[in-house]
This record gives sequence, C-alpha cells and structure tokens, in this order.
Amino acid sequence: MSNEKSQRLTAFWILFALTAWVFSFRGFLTSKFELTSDALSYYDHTKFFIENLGRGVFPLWDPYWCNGSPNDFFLRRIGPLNPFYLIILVFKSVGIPYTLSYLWFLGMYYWGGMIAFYLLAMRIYQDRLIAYAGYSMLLFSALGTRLFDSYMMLVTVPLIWFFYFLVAFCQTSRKHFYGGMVLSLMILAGTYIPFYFLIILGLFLLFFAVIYIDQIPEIFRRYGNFFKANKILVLLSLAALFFSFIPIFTFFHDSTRGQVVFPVRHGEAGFEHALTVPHKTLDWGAIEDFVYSAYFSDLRMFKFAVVYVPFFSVVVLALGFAARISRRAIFIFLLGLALLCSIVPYGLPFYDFFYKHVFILKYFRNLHFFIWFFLIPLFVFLVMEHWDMFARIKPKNDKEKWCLLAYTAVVHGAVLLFVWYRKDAVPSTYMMIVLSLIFWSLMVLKKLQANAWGFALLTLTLLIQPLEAYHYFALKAVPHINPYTYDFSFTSLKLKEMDLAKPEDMSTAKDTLYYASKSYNFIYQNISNYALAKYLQNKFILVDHLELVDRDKAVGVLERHFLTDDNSAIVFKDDFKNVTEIGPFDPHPSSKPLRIDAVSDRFKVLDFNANHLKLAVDLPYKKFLVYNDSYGPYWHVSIDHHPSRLYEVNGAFKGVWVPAGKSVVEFSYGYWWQYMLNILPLIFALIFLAGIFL
Amino acid sequence: MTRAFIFYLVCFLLVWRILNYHQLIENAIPQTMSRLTPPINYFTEFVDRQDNYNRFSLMNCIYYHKAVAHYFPYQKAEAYGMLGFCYERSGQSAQAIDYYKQAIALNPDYFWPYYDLGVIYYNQTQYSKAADYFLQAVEQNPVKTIVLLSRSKVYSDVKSGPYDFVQGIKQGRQQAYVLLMDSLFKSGAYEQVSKVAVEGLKEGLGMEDVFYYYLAMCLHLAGKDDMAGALMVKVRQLHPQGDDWIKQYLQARVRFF
Repeated sequence: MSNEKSQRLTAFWILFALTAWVFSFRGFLTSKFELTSDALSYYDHTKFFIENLGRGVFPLWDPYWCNGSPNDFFLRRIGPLNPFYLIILVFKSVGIPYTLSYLWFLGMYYWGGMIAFYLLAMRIYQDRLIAYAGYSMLLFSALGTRLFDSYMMLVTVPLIWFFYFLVAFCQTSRKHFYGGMVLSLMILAGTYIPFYFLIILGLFLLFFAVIYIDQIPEIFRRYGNFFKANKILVLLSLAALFFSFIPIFTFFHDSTRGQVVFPVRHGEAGFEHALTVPHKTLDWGAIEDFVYSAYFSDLRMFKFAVVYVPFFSVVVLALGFAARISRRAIFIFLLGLALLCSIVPYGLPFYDFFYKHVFILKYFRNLHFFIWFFLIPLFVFLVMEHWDMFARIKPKNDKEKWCLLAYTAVVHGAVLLFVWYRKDAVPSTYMMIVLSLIFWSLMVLKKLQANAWGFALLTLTLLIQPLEAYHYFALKAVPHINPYTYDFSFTSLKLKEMDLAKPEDMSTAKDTLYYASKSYNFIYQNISNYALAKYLQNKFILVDHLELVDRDKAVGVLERHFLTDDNSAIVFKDDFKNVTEIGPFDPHPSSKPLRIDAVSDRFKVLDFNANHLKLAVDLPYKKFLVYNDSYGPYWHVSIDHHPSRLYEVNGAFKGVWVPAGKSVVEFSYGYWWQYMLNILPLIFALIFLAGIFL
Repeated sequence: MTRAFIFYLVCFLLVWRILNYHQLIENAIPQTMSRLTPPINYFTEFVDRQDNYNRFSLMNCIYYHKAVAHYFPYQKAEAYGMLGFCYERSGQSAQAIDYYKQAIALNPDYFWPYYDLGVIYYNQTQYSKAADYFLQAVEQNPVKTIVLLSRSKVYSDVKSGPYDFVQGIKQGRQQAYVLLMDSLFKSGAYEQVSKVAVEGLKEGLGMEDVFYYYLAMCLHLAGKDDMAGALMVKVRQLHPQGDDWIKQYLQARVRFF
C-alpha cells in the first residue's frame, strides 16, 4: 500500500475513533449533563477570564469571588497564556453560547492531545497500527471523563505535545519542533502549579541520562549545532520562557505577603507559606486512587475518577511478557515505577524524604494527579512497547510459529479465566477477549496487516468494551438544569442584594473558604452570618465619619457596627496611624448611613469591569464612600483624576473620602507592569504558535 | 534471562522488599472506604422513593457493603444487614434472606434482621415463618440494638442524617407486633394472637386499637362474642369509619433510617 493511501486510511480510522468518542460523551458535549467537582470551578474562572479578555480586559481582580479577591490564583490554575483558549472566543464570535463553546473547546483540546500522542508514537515506532492502538487506548481511557469533573487535560495535553516536540527535535533539529517545545513548556509553566511537570521532566531526564547515556553526546552535538545556527530564536525562546515563569513567581511572592489565604488547602500547615499544604492532606495518594478504581471493576458502576484504560491493553501487556525486554521498555517502566514510588506517602520511605528535603513537594497535595497527568499515558506507551516487543518475535520455523500461537491462546485463556473468576465483567469484556484472540492469532500467522481489515478488527476489539463502559457512565450522569455559578454577565455591578432573610432563618454554620483575601476570611469567620449579610446588602455606603478602633477589639466592634448600621466606617488604628480626617463634615449628620440602592442623579456607575470602577457622585457635603469589595494593596483610587488615599475599612473593604459637589471617583486595580507581565507571555505564546505553522 | 517477565519480576521483588504493605493498606483502605460511603440522601431514596429508586445507586450500596464486610470483619453483621436490605429493595429476596440470616448468625442481638426477614416472608404470604421472625424480633432487647447502632461505623452517616434511629426502633417494634399478630392470625394460631395482644397491651407500646382489634377477632372466633363485642365498641369509637385503618397499619413499612 502506498504511503499516501496508508495515511488516508489511518486518518479515516482516527476520525472514526473520534466519532465514537464524541458519541460516547455526547451528553456532556451538548451540555445535557452537568459538569461536576473541579470542572465547575474551571468552567467559571475560564468564563470570567475569556469574557473579560474578549472585552479587552485582562482580569487581575475578581469582584465576584468572596466579595472581591485577586484573580491571580485562578489565572494560574487555568494558565492564561494558553493561546488555545482563544478557540472559545472564536466559537462565541459565531454565536455559539459560552457553555457549548467551552465544552467543545475541551473536547477539541483533548483530542489535540491524543493526536500528539499518535504523532509521538509514530515517531518512535514507525508503525501505524501500533500508533493507532495507542491513540485509541488513550482516547478511550478514563482521562476523557476527567474533562467533565476535573482539569487534568490542562497539564496532560501540553505535556504530551512537549514530549512529542522533544522527541521530534531530538530526531530532526527543525525550528518548528523547537518552537513547539518552547510553546508547550510555556503553557506548562503557566498552568496551575508547574511542579507536577517539573518533577516529571526531572525524572524523565534523569532516567534517560542513565539508560541512554551512549546517546547523550550525539544529542548534545545536535542541540549545539542548532543553537549555533539559530541564536536569535534561542534567545527569544529563553526570553519567552523567562516571561512565562514570572507570573508564577509574582504569585508566589504575593502569597508570601499574606494578602490572600487558602484555608482548605493550607489547613494545619501552620505559619508556613499560604500555599503550602500539610502532610495530613496527602492521605489520598496514588494507592488510594487505585484501590478506589479497583472497587469499580464492574464497569456498570463506572464513574468519575476511576482509573481505566481499555482492557485490551492488559492483553497486549501480557503478550509482551514472553518477549525480549527492550531498553525502551526498561526506561518506560522504571520511569513510571520511580514516579509511582515517589508519590506514595505511606508504606514507602521516598515521599517522606522528599517532603522534608525538596521544598516544592510542600506546595501541592493531589499526588494522585500524577496518575492522570503522566502515568496513564506512560502506561499506554508501555503497552505499545510490549506490542512492538511481541511483534519483534520472529518464528524461525513452523514449530516456533505454532508455539507463538499457542502462547497467544494461553494468554487469552488466562485473561479469560481471570475475568470469569472475578464474576463482575460486562459482556463486552468477554467479546473483547474473543476478538483479541482472533486479532492476535491473525497477526501471528501474518494474515493481518495495517490495511482496512486490520484497522477495522483492531478498532472493534479496542472500542467494544469502552463503548459499553461509557454507556453506563452516561446513565449515571446528572442532567444539567440549573445555570453554573458564573453564568451571568460580568458587565454590570449589582448595587443591592436580594432582601435579607430573617436572623432565625439564616444558617449559623461557617464554611471553610477555599480562597479569599485574608481580611475578608477573618471577618467571615468571626462575624455572624446575619450581621455580615445585613451589612453587605449594599455595594456602596456613604457615611459621615470614621471610627478608629484597636485591632484586638475588632470582632466585637464590627459585629455591633454591622448590626446597628451606624453612620460611620471602622478603621484600624495600627493601619492608619496618622488619620486626620475623621468627620463629620455635614453639620447635621443622620444617625444612619446612606445606603445606595440604585443609580440616581447623585450616584452613577460610569464604567465597571473586573479591574476598574468609575463613579460619578454628587454630594451636598464631604462624605466617606465605602465600597464593599475587598481591599488589596494593588488597589488605588483617584478623585477627579487626582490620586487619593484608599482606606481599608470595616475589616476588609475599600473606602475613600469624597468631596462635596460633583466628583468622578475611580478605583483601579494593579499597575501597568502587572498587566504587561501577564500579557507578554500570551503574546510570546501566540508568536511561537504561529511559528510552528510557518 | 532477557525475557520481559524476568525483569518485571525482579523489579516487583525489589519494591516488595522495601514496601511496608500493612502501613500502605492501613491508610489506603479506610481512606477509600470513607470516600465510597453512600451519602445519606442516598438512603433517603430507598425510603422516600420506594418504587423508583436508582438501580445504580442500589448496586453501589451493595458493592460498598460487600467491601465493608471484606475489609472490616468486625462490622460484618451490620454490613450483611445492609446487604440484605439492598437486595430486598432490588427485588432479590433469596439473596436478601441469605444475608439477613448471616447477619443474625454473626450478631443474634440485633432487632432489624429479624424484622426484615419477617417482612420478606410476610410479603411472600409465608405467615408461619414470618411469625417466627417477628416473634424473635419483639423478643430482642431494644437497648442492645440502640447500642449497636450508636457504635457502628456502618451507620455513622445514617446517624448524622435526619433519621432518628431511637424513634425508628420504637416504631419498628410496634410494627413487628402488628405484623406478628396478623401473621399468627392468618396462620390460624388465634390463641397465640391473643397472648401477643395481651402482652403488647401490658408493655404499653401504644396502638391499643390494634391490640383490641385482634383480641376481639380471636375472642369472636373462640365464641366469646360478648367480650369481643365490648372490645369492638372501643375500636369503633376510635375508628368510626370502618376497618381501612388496619390495612394502613399492615402496609406501613418501618426502617431505622
């Protein structure tokens, strides 16, 4: 078969497998079923980011999260320099609603990762059938389910692309491979906590250096030649990488200053950095994920977070056991084993050692994510390697051929016995074993090749079980009825909350906040829910004077203040020692403050976005304006374009003195350099993305 | 020596050498089981949506309690009790009976498996067998059942939910008496019905109307119409609209949560 024909055939089956995958997840991809768990939060924060970006605003502040919080943490989680998010904007621009745009983006991004996996496999094995099997196994692994309950693909997809470009660049030192490698690195550096990737890369390089030591000089020679010939590109890429790491460094630096807290993550980590996690939160590790998954071996029970790779992979793995071990299999296996042993906090000594001596391990808690980010794709690679090892067995005569056939039958028989003994297999598992026996028998007898029949039989064998599993998976999905938390427009500011419930109807329970400004978390935990809700009824309050109080008396004073609704704003003495303007300036001040319920001639919102608020105010006397949005060190305020002093008032919020008469009050978040540090990596990423295709 | 399985075997043995298996499992199993615990609203489904419960949720519950029985042998009795309940709800009475009997064998002082077995046999119109189990149920010391429920981890989620298991055992005993009398009555053991009714009245369980009713029926069948008539007058005073109320008593199904 000609190469072109062979390419077309493979492309057809790749698309066929994709169609089957889309069919399996159609309920999720059409938003008929609900996103769940972490995926909800990522949906919300991506929406907030993308819709703001679409309006020309790079949102460094989120006014909707816990009464206003720096958005840096959520930006780091989604990875704002990932240019592929712009796909959502493209979908939206042609009129597709955000929810569908986001879900289709998820699907496309995931599939892109699978294509990278196929290309990587082709680079290594030069065998379309093996590469296609690997692609299908990974596509139909449980990794796909995590699009709808987690965010694994934000790391897994660029990670696969990175290794594809790395291998491609090592084989052929071309500029676009180098560009792709840099772009993947940039995306990984800007995504969530980059330590997952850095650990994987570190281990990969270590094992590669040990196992392929003879190839290192040649690789270095090729790299050297490329760097000499492309000095500008290399310098540009280093600059891009440097800039892509800066936002994460500034985020860590800001977290050190204690402006924000992560009560759920940080837990009992004591006085360490706000981002650290205590050892206790590591109780759910890789082993727990496997034990949990083993519990769902009956695929009728299949659900989110269950580790699953089509069972055909086990047959292939078993077939390879009798083959000669390859250097690549040793490399893949030891890399996976070393990573697995390092992420088991109980029963093995490695993790405790690393936790004590390697600082980065204190910053993340979900060790089992390594399974999803790396170990599942690595396992599929090991399976492909076993396929390759098995295919390398060349029987010298008929006797050996029949022995190999007998071995194939024995392996299938053993798998069948195992499945039968467990008594929880779905019917498609038995069908898969029969089809696999036919497939491998024909392969051994050289009656099957990478032609239409070969692909068809392989596809049927591979997909029959996952299709049934995902059928049961969809049966348990929750219908999407209610809008998600951030399914609203970010263009308007709500001046007044809904009517307040009665104190007796309001819950007294306090949640542990996931992420908030430190001062807001303090008042949230210490002030009663009713008092806080009563106070936060209005976004803006005009008062006549400031009340200076000691911080150690803050809780009692704030509780009283919020309940009695005094015509004052509370300022901590130690924060503002030289406050000279106390007020009142009104000769006959009211006992109650002026709460802004709606816009009027005297109070207008001229402009509002995530980082900025512009008000037109007309006052008879000088008054103090309280803006019930969290205070932060990067906020500043101006009155009629002249900088003014911004106060932290009422425990956590912003306030400013506004003169009598007409004024324009502007609250702004951040400085130009902060925006540049975030936008520059995105521009670099776009340049490198364009470079790959040039 | 270059075969793949030898390499994997060597790696496995090396890891096994340094692995503290007990420490690994001691953390992993409770953590996993804790995450797998069916939520309380899930039990509500059984009770509140008896005709349309989610079969996957029920399967999940079955798997969970099988795992509890496997990993935590000291909770086997409660786990088997729950398995009996799940199988009963999924219409698999034979498995339900088997698990209830195993639960009784492991812990003979627990009220609910007797009661549940009685209900299954009653529904199967095997009134004599049903009466045997209802009789054993009412003979149980309710305090022992309450102590077991209080200490059991299997029921911890149920305890933190909206269901009052102390109230549940009280209602369960009442219901057991009603079904015991009806089972005995339907199997023709009128003398025993009278004894149970008198005992129930003495115990002060409430529901005097039911005890009077069955006592009156037995006295009538024994030819003592005067006494039966007097008791029926009392019953009619409480229920002037007819005998439908007794059907409601018989159809009620009580469970501890």
